[in-house]
Parts: sequence; structure tokens; C-alpha cells
Amino acid sequence: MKQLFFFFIILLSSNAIANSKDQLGSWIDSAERILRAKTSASVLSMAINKAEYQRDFTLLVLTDDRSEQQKVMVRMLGPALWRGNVTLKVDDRISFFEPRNKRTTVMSSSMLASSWMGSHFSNDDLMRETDLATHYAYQAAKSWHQESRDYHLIELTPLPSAPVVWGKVMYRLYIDDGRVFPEQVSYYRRNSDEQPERTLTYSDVKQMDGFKVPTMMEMRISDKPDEYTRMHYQKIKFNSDLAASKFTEQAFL
Amino acid sequence: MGLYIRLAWRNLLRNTKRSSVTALGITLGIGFCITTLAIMDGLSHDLITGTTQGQVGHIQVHEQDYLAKRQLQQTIENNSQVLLELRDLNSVKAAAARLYSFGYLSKDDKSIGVSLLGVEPKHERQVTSLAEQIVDGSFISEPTPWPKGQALSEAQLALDEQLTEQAIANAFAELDGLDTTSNELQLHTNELIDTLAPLPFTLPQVVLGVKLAKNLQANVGDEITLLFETAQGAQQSLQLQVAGISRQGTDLIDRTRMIFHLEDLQKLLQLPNQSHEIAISTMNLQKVDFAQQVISDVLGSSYPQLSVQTWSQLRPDILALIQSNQALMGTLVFIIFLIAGVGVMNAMLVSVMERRKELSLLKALGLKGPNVVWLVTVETLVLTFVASIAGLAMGIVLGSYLQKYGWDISQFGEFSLAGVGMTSALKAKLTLNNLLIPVIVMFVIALLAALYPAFSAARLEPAQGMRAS
Repeated sequence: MKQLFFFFIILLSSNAIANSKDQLGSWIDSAERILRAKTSASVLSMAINKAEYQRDFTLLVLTDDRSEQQKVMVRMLGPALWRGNVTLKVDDRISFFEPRNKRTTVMSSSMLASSWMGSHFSNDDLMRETDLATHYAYQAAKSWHQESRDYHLIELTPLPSAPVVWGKVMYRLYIDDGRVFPEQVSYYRRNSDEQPERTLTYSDVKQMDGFKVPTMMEMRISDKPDEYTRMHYQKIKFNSDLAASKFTEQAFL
Repeated sequence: MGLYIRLAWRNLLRNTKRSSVTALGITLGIGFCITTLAIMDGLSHDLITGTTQGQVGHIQVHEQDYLAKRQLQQTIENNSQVLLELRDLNSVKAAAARLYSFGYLSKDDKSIGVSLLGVEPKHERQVTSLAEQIVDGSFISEPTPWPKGQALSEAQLALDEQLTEQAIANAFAELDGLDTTSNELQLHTNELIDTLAPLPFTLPQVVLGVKLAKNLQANVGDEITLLFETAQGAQQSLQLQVAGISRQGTDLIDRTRMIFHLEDLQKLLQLPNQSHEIAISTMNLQKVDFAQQVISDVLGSSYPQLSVQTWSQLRPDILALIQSNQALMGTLVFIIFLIAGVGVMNAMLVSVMERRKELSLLKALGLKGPNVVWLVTVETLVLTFVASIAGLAMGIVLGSYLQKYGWDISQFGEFSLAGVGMTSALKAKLTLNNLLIPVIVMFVIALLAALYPAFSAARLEPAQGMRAS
């Protein structure tokens, strides 16, 4: 009887641990999806500030997570030199289209890690599948309460066979009104590193298309404190019925 | 002395068979050593010329951190001025600037990652054999005529902003299901782009590596599309035309390399008057260190951010390969000599033993110990001298044959050493050193080998020796 009791205790507690891990995972998943929902269409400006150049883009970003293939299409709306350029990602296939010569280049997944249009975001960041939720193990590092919000700092370490570049990710999020908001994501090259290699910050929460969402994303590289890429959402439409044909290479023409 | 030589010569002729077999050993030893050394020198020479003419040149100039990081922005600024100053120097035969980058090349539905190399064809010909590697079509000759881009005027900038607003409005209208296909927007945009970044009048010509061309199924004259990133960090694509196909010999290079005219690539990458590397061929490869010093001094004052390196500093692996080759061949030569030396010692020992009676008689007649040593030594030296001449003749004949015709090793397939494409014939290179070193070393070894028989002969007790049967 006593043994049975212990057995139940153990079963319960292990369940509780598993639950809390699922909880962390689903929080991160929600936080990552806050700007995507099922489908999203957004217009945003991207400001790149590097030592070698400064540049501003205006982008239309369409995402569609209704099917298994997570689809992302980025169309550049301005300035002139890039207007009409389209980057499309369906699964791991990235294609790039330039309207002037009407050519589509299909890139291999090895290009995922290279920078998108010279920004501090990689192709993978911009076209991100929410791989944080699937490729990492979670561990709560810290929780606190501040300004009527529940804050959580979650440490993510890659699963043994995960195809990821980061050795550790520290994810800071908060829960407000039952919704999960991302606040800061720090990417560490190695698990033992003191300093993150780069940090993504979400800020400027505003009401957009009926939801409160962060409208500013800023990526900074620790090595180069003066450089950053800032994405500022100007308009978002969530869960609209995007036609599947928008995410094909035929749609470029 | 003359007497000793006469005596020695007579003694050697007394047993012609034994003497000639010993001499044959020495002859073969020297002959093969000369050939081995010549092949080794030929190989080193091939490696060095393969390195310097293949891609490296004798000396290279870079922005000082370029080799460590190889970033697109780490260029030699004011490239044409630096080149002018370099080409003015007496020790510089030719100097050619190069530009490197990466891109994504596609034809039809095939795409491959490629490395881009911009060269100055006229000067590159004098530094490396890049232009001779063409297997189909032709090398690049002239830069593509290209209109100059201009910054947008105030009015055009305003128009651009207006067009962006229009594009945003269109994009959202499109989402709401409205039809907004407007050719006008792209039309105006194209006008602006043509001001900013005009397309070339004709398609820029490029040379593809042979395996790259095969993988893309691109032939000479075909149109291909390159997607690349400019130094300003923007992705762009451009139509190009295949002018030629080259075979360098190294798999990686033949699979990924794409050659442009330097000016075309500068235009593409938006790096006007800049290069990543200047490769220099000097007047005399033997004096490359001196030339490096001169070049460093000249560039040092006005361009402190540039560094100058010789081929051996750039490719220390090649130098190490040559040195390990030499060590290996040296060991081989040493073993050959050791065997020849033991042969000489044996022959002399037998000869001395045979002549115990006669030597004892000479001693009894008053020939002193040192004189006996001298007699045997001279005998050895005369034998070695005769054999050396024969060995030299053999080495020269064999060496010059290999120097002229080479040793065809093409049945082993194409090969490259440490990334240097090699010719399929192993060529020897005869030098004075290669001829003299084996002969001198053979003399020293023969001398050493003669000592033991000589001293054992000198120690003979005349009374006992004469009694021997």
C-alpha cells in the first residue's frame, strides 16, 4: 500500500514536471506566433544600420501557417531599387524573384543562415518556422511579477540532434490578460558563453487588427553595439483568407 | 703520389672482375642518386611554379586583415593608383588585381552556389596561367560597356516615396480582394532603377569552371542568372553570358569558380576602384624576398593598411610539402650511399686479405704503416673516381632524358598536391648541385669505407703475414 502511494506520488510529480515543460513550450510557441496567428499580412518598415551602410525598406509580409508547410512571402514595396522583389519560402525552399529581369532563383536550405538583404536578420529569422518550439528543451530560469504582469525567463538548450546554430537561447516573455508576449530573446553561440551573440527585442505594444501586439522588433549584435536592424509594423491583418496561389512562384510574375 | 696511383691502378686491374663489380655498385649508386635528386627538384619546381602560376603569383598584396576574415569590405582602396606604383618598380614584372565574392548561379531550374573572381585579363596573363586553362570558348578580354548610375534627384526621390505609398495601398487592396494590377507602378519604378543602377549594354561575359558548367548544363554562349549581394548588402540578380569554360585541375575550383572581368565585378559588387588582392610576378623568383622588401617599403609609407606576402608565406603548406619531400628523398639517397659504401668496404677488405703476403713483404722491405694506409686509400679513391665518371655520365643521360620527356604518370589519373594542379608527367630538373652532391658524398663515404681495410693492412705483422698461405 505504502509502495503504491509512493508510486502515485512519483507519477503525479513527473506529470507535473512534464506539464510545466509543455507549458513553457506552448508559451514560447504563442509568443513566437503573436505576429503571425494562422495567417497574417503586414506592412512594415525595416531600418538597417550598419557601419558600411544605412538603408530603409518597406515590406509586405504574408504568412500562412494553416498547413504543414509554413509559408512566408516577403514582397519589397520600396524604395525603387528593390520594389517588386519577392522572397518566398515554402518548407525549406527559398526562392528569390526580381521583376526587372523576371527571373526566379531557387536557393538551397544552406542559404537559410545568410543575411537577408544585408540586414542583421538571416533568411531563417525572417522566414522563421517556430523552430524554437520543436528543436529545444526548456527550463524555467526565473519568474517574477511586475506591473501586473507575470514575467518568465526561459532557458532553451538545443535537443541533441536539432539542426540549429545556437547553443543556448534565453527567452524573456510576459503574460498579460492571458496572452503571451515576447520581450527579449538572447542568442548564445555556445551554452557556456557569458555574452549573447545577438539580442532580439520586442517593444511598442499597440492594438492592431483587434489584438494587442508588439509592433517594434530590434536585432542587435553584441560585437557591434552601434549596429542594429529595426522592424516596425505599420499595419497587420490577422487570419484573413489568403489564397494559396499567393505563395507560389507563379504569383511573382 | 704518381707512384701510388700507378701501384693502385695496377692492383685494381689485377682483379678486373671484382673491381668492375665494385665500380658498378658505385656507378649505379651515383647515377640513381643524381636521377632521384633531379626528379625531386623537378617536383619541387613543378610545385612552386604550379603554385605561383596557378593562382598565387610570386607576391600578393592585401588589406592587412583580409586573409584572416575575407570580408567583402576589406578591400585595397585606390586600386589603380597602387597598381601604377607597383608596375613602376624594377623588380616587378607584372601586377594583376583581383576581386572575390560569392553568389548563387542559376540556369533554368538548376541553382548552384559559386565563388566569383574578378581579374584583369591583360595583366593576369603575365602573372598566372589562368587564361591558358580554357578548354572551350575563350577567356574574357574587355570589360562590358556599362552606363554610369546616378543618384536620384529631389523630384525622383519624391516620386519614389509616392510609389512606395502606392505599392502599400495596392498591397492592402489586393488583400481585400480588389484587383490592383498596375503596370504603371513597375514602369515608373523601372525608370528610377535605370537611373540608379542601369543594366549593361551587352550581357557581361564570364568563364565557368568545367564541372560547374557541366552541373548547370551550361555551354558557351548560354545565358545564366547570377544572384549576388553587393557591398551595400543588397541582393540583386543579373543576366550573364558564358564566354568560356576553364579547367584548373582542383575539384573545388572547377566545381565553383566563375571568372569575371575585374571592372564588371567591381560594378556588380559596387566596389569601384577596389580589389581584394594584387598578385605580382617578380623578375626573379630566387630574389622574391628582396622584391617583397622593396614592395613593402614602397607601399608602407602611403598605404600602411596593406600587407605584402610572398608565395611561401601565403602557402606554407606547399613549402612544408617541398621540405618533407626533400627529407624523404634525402633519406633514400643516404640509404643508397650506405649500401654502396659497404660494397666498397667489402671489396677493399677482400683485396687486402688476398694480398696479405705481398703487403707483408712490402712492409718487411721497409714500407711504413702510414704508407700502407695511403696505398689502400688511393686504391679506393682511384676506383671511386673511375666509377664516379661513369655514374655522372649515367645520371646525366637519365636525368636529361627525364628533363626532356618526363616520366608519364597519367595512368594514375589527374592529381593535385595540396590544391596545386600538377602536370601528368613527372619532370626532372638537373642542376649543378644535383650532379656534384652525390659524387662528393660518394667520395667521402668511399674514404671512410677504405679506412678499416687500410688500417687492418697497416697492422699486419710482416713475419706472420708472409707465412700465410
